[in-house]
Amino acid sequence: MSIDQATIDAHGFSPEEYQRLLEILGREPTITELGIFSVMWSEHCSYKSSRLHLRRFPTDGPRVVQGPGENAGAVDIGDGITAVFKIESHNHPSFIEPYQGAATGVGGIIRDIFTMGARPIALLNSLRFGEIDNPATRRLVDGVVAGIAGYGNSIGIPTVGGEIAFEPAYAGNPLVNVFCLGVAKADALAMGVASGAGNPVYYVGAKTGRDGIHGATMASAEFDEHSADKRPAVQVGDPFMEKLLLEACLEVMRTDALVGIQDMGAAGLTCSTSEMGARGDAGIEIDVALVPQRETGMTPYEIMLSESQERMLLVAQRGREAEVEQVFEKWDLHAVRIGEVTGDGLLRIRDQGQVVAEIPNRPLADRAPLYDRPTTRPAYLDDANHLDLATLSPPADPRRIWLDLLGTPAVASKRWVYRQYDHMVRTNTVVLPGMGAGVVRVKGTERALVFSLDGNGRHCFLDPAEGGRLAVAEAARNVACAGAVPIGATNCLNFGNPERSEIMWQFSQAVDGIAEACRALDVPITGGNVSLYNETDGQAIYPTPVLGVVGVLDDVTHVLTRVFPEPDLEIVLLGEPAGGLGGSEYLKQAHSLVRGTPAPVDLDRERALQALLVDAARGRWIRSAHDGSDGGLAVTLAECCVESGAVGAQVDLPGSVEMDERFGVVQALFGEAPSRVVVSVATGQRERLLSGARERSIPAVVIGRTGGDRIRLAVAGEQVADIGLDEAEQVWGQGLTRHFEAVASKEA
Amino acid sequence: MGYGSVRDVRQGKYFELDVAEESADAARSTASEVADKLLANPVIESYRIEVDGDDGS
Amino acid sequence: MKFAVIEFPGSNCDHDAYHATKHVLGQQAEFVWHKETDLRGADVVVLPGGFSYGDYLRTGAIARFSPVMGRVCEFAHAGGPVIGICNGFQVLLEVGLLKGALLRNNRLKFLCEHIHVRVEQTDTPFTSGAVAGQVLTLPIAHGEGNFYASPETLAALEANRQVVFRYCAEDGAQSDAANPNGSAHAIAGVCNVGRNVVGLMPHPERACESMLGSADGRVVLESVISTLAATGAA
Repeated sequence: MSIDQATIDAHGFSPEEYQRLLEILGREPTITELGIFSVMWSEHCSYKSSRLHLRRFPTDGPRVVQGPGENAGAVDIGDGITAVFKIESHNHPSFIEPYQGAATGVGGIIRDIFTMGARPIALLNSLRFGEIDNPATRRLVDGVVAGIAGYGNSIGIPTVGGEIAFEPAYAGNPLVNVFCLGVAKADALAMGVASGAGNPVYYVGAKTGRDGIHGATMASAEFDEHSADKRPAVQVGDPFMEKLLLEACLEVMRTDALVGIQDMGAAGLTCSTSEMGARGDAGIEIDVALVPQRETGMTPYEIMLSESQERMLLVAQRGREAEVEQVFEKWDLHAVRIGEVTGDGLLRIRDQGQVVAEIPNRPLADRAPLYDRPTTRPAYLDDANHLDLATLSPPADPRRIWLDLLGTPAVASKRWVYRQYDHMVRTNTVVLPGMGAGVVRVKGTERALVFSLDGNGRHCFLDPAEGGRLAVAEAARNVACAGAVPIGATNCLNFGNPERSEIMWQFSQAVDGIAEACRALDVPITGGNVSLYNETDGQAIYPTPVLGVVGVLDDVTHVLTRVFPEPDLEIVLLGEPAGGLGGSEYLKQAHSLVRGTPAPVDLDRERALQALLVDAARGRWIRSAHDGSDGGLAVTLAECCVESGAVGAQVDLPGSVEMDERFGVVQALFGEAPSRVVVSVATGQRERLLSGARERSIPAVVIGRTGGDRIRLAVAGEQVADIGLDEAEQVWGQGLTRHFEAVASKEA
Repeated sequence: MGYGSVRDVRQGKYFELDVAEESADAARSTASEVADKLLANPVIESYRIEVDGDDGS
Repeated sequence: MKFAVIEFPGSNCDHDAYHATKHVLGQQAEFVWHKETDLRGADVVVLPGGFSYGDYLRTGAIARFSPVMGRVCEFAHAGGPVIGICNGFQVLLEVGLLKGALLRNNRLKFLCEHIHVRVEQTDTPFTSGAVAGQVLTLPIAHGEGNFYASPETLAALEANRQVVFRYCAEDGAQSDAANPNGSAHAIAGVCNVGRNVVGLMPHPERACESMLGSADGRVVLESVISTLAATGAA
């Protein structure tokens, strides 16, 4: 039986890819085999456009227990415990069906963690949308946040923070990246491997339906005017089922009757069977007639490609089946034996005994297409990187600019979002959302895990390599500001169409930047995710790598947050005071421009600064720490005061030697730069801090004092802006909220 | 959404029970018990029963 | 004292209740699986928060039929102290040990934040260690915490002093702004006529260590420990 060209094309094969398929099989494929190859070789599953570049990431380190290649990465945190973590994207489904797209994204990443044998203890998310004044955007935000909340809250894992940004570039392509962190005993990690001929293969969890078929291929293509028709390809999640699976799987792993376990995510049964077989260098044989189904008349093709959620694949030790089945029965789940491991290295699919697919397992994985796509530096850069302040209209009064920035959704309080997330369940949350990096204690130890998600699409648009370096630096710095040592990283690389050479250039540059920074800061990449084809009608998103850095705080009582804890402390600025306006939030808000280049990071300086922060926290020299980001020092200082319990500040920032006549004050207040941290310190500890900074060649200057009910800013001795704490709290507190509660009252 | 003619909306739940009883009355009675015990919370919900098929099916 | 923490499929805060009673307050604590019918000599029963049975049909509607609930009801009818927290409160309402029902929050969204409640009655095992009018800072985390009862039931609850906790501002004053979910009469928790079964939406077990934001929840759990000690229980 021959397959026609139209069908081959519909499955997304290039002529070369199809040739390769024929070589591997040695004959024409069955329709089921065609489907299997098509999903396994889709961009989403095979990483064919990105794999070559990802090899440049540093992945080793003394603490790395599991690097890229498994369901999640793992690092040693001491006391025989590992932190298991990863970030994943669910961008395309969230545009089509925001609630379920986001919910199933959360479900998917949670499974990746517990399938490793780790108890998930925290979630973070990084979201990008178009501008907030568009009602369509607000509906997306509403749906996505509700979906994340609905799933995470139900399953009882706290969502403790993250980031949200709004740029026109994401209007047709929102980004939903979800990060999950879990803990496991180092000697109890489970692997996604099938081995031991004759060992039974079990399926457990939800029944298989037709949802999500070709979800992997949807994520491997752009959107166009037909995108609404793709709705059936969005999976539907059931957090209750996943909660049962989570508890049952962790329980069965304690019996050590398992050989391997993997969750069924993208490309469902196909991906899990073939990956487990490939890792164990074994064959796997299953009969789809044994797979629990919730629809009638499903074909083997549909069963193998279905992306129904909340399903796990297990390989048990022969002879210990009863133990495994019993654990699942307790949780009212049925583990169904659907096949076994073989010694012939083939992925063999039967349907009621009849073979419908037989594919050599290793080549399916190892000989997946690998592309070295052409790269071209985009033409827009020469112009975009040019920023001449002389051409800008004169800046408004600094006080006005300051309030506008505080009230911008990207900068303002995200409370409207995180109060929808149960961020306290499991009683480990030491730092509440919005107060800095996420911090969860590790019960049974004195330690805490600290983690942050950071990325900046504007920076990467203007300079992808620098943007990559800056994202790593920022995420690691946020971790260090809490007092923790950064020890590992995961990344989610969100880009446009890689078949366009400019996009591929952005990708390659960003990878270079991330790799360099990870090496310099000692945060190896332990795994991550690539999401390509984030474009609609030829318009791509900003290149947006999102970095998740994890750190360990040896003594949780040393933790620091962003707020000034009390009056009469000295405020010290660590790092170079000068900031730039290229790619800044100020430039976007006040002049509607995304131009210039982001201020570059000196990785040696950054490394030294982070080490200083860790020492300062350990030695209790400092009482709070907050790093500068969007909006510059004026915003950073305001963020140290809001939610502090009414502690204001009086600050005098250094001017720079050649201050631009018109924009000098603006640069001092709102200029952005990496490697700058504002800390508060008791007078008695100030010298200890300053000498610690000197030893590490880090500029450090006392810029003011905490206290009072206002935030007063001066530059080079001259008062330039002054706002009351009440006003700051009000503007910052409502900056995002007013876009949702205003809408609600209008529609009432 | 611009549908000015829609004056009011109420939301509820719809359950279909397949009941094997001798008569429509018996089926209604069973359904009523099931509704009282589980399907509806009388503190906050009321219910109404419709029976299809009076031939015992 | 021995605490039995009931575990339903989908309970999430069972571990938090166990941690608080055993590791923070140093008591004995055991998980009791919903299919069991033996409370193993527990002095106090805790129905924890979470999403038992995925909130299928209605919150707590299915859990009330679990085998263990028969035993819990016997324990309650015999005067044993029972506390239902959040989803646990929902289960107690569905099974009829407490009167009323819980609707979706009036602002329709799930809400997780620290709020304040006023202790209205100190003659229950879970509030005996508090002072009348004492304000506690406790976390809430729920989408369906809007307490409802018919006007007759509400009047009876008030007349019988069965409203144990009421949402309030930091200084104890009542206001709409201080009511996070629209609950009738700002009711955050109630007890039964026998005054031994208490249900509340806020989470005292999440407020036993100041590192987590508030330790005001301790008084709820410590009250039952000292009440039982005074009456000479094990």
